[in-house]
Amino acid sequence: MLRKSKKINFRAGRFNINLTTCVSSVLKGIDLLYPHSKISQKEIIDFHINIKPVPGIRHYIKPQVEFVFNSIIPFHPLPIDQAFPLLEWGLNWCVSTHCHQFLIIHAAILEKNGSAIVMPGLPGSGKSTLCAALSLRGWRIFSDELTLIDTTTGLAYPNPRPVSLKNQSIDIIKSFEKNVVFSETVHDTLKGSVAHMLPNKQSTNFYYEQSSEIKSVIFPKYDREATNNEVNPISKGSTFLKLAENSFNYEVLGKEGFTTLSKVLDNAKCYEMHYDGCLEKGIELVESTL
Amino acid sequence: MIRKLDHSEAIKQLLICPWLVSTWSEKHWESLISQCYATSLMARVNWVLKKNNLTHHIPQTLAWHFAAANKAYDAHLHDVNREIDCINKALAPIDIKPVYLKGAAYIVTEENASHGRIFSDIDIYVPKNKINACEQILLWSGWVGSNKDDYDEKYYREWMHEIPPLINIETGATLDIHHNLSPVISRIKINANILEKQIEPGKKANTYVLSPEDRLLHSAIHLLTGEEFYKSFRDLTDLDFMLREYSNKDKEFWEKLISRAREMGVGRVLYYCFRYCSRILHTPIPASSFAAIKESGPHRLLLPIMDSLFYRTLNPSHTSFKDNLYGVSCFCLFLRSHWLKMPLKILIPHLLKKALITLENDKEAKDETTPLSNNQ
Repeated sequence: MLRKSKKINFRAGRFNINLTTCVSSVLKGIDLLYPHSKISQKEIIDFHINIKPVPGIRHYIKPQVEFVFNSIIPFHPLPIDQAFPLLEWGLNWCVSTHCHQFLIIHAAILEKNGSAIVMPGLPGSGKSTLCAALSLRGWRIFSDELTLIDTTTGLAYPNPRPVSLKNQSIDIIKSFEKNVVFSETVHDTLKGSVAHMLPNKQSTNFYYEQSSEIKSVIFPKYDREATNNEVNPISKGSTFLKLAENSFNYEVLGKEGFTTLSKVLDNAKCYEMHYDGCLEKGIELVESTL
Repeated sequence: MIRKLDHSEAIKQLLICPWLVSTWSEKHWESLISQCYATSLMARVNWVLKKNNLTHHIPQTLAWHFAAANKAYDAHLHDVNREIDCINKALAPIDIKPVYLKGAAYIVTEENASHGRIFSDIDIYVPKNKINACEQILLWSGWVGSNKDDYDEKYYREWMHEIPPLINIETGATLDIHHNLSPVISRIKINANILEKQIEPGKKANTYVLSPEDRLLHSAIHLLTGEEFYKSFRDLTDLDFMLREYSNKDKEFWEKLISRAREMGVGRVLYYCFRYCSRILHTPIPASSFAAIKESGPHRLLLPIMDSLFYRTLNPSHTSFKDNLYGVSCFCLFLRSHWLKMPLKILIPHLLKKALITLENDKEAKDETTPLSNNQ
């Protein structure tokens, strides 16, 4: 599980990462899910990260790993088999706590032909599953977790990284489309079983400075018992409040956060979507909002 | 002293000779950013660059790190000001004028040490005879106690220089209410009455602070007898900023400071403060002031030991500054801080009790699932 400590520079979404680790599952995960993302030693690094085993006697009984960001350890250590998910969560943390050049909303965001849709949602709403499915039907993934909105223009910017899927969603997506690359499923994490999916090529080949206008904001509501699959318009006022509440840094940005969200909602239509888990229907409903 | 071409000490170079950035490569800037994250100094470094008109040297791809940190700082400043208004409003009816300490004091005096400094708790000083009334009215005005158990309660009430922290329910901010600058049972005993004689108004309306000498000494006591090492470089830059600013404003500052330190019985702390500020951050301390405080320094055999401990812990807590003895040095200073804080007959049972509580908490933590992070 451990090898000699290695330093690699790679591009995770729009940020350059310098990672030091000796955990082989992390190195394997990067080879698998960040192909063609290696960058040269000369490139300027945004975030220096270390995934390292927690030292001590415990290391010989129940080894754990911790995420270190420039000497800071923001989370509790996790069992060593969760090292790759820990890296992914850590990378999300790097973005959501530092990147105040954007208003950051906890939502999936996808793009096609210059139009973006934002799907906020509580755990269980089906947003990640729907996001993965849309990406397998030609949509570009900007992000499955963190919607980044430029505070000066109100436009969304891409930060494509592996899509995190949980529990049943993993098998649902695996049967929805064959030949999709997944990391090994890790069980018993705080979020249940977790696996990461390689985003499609057009997402990661995308030019990172290409922004996109948000055309619709959709709150998906997965309900297995739902009798109608439907998408209904909702008010901009309630959408505004929900987006602010789902934002990581609305309070940091203050007035700027308010004006940014206003810019987004001046142009975007807002919907609530009920669906019974049928992904083909879900995709159809999402596309009907454009 | 300053290795011009070595980017591993970027943050120190920047604080000592900011104009050197014009010679920097992109790798210097990358190291600077990494060291700023490690020391929570991004917003402060941004302020130094701005003040010296050097922001145009920042490579464009890295500029966002500074701009973003500055936004977080502005939000912090706004929050602290609002919190101070809440505290003043709550205490006004019983005519208590809280004296703001440390981070909050830098903000209400608008001094350089406030720039880019983000802190988590607000500290105030209230005379001991008014502390019960102060606590009571805050509890009626939306604050709640945060004490965990009877032992914590006893620890604060009997031994410490502050009461158990209060939390403002509406904003979540923590408020530490002090009646002295060092623990009641500490080896460093400060007569609170002498502090009160030099209280002065802050620049922000209806706020009060200690005199500049006392503010400096308080921060020095906190840093050089304390046990929080990951922020020590930031706190050392506070001392550096304060010494430079106060001595510029008041020609008699150095004499006042030294005589005040003697009066309080903290000459040793001031000696260390002078020594490490000048050695690590090149703070311009007059030779005469250095000479005047020299007699308060430690024994000549002890000094090299203290040097080796303080150099390791006061430098930035970043891999480019840490060596294999960093952890041991922190541990030694942790023991020293407790040795200074309480007499042995209280210290030994206290450390045992703390170890036991940590073990129990570990067990509980295993039973419940601890959240990875609030945001994720």
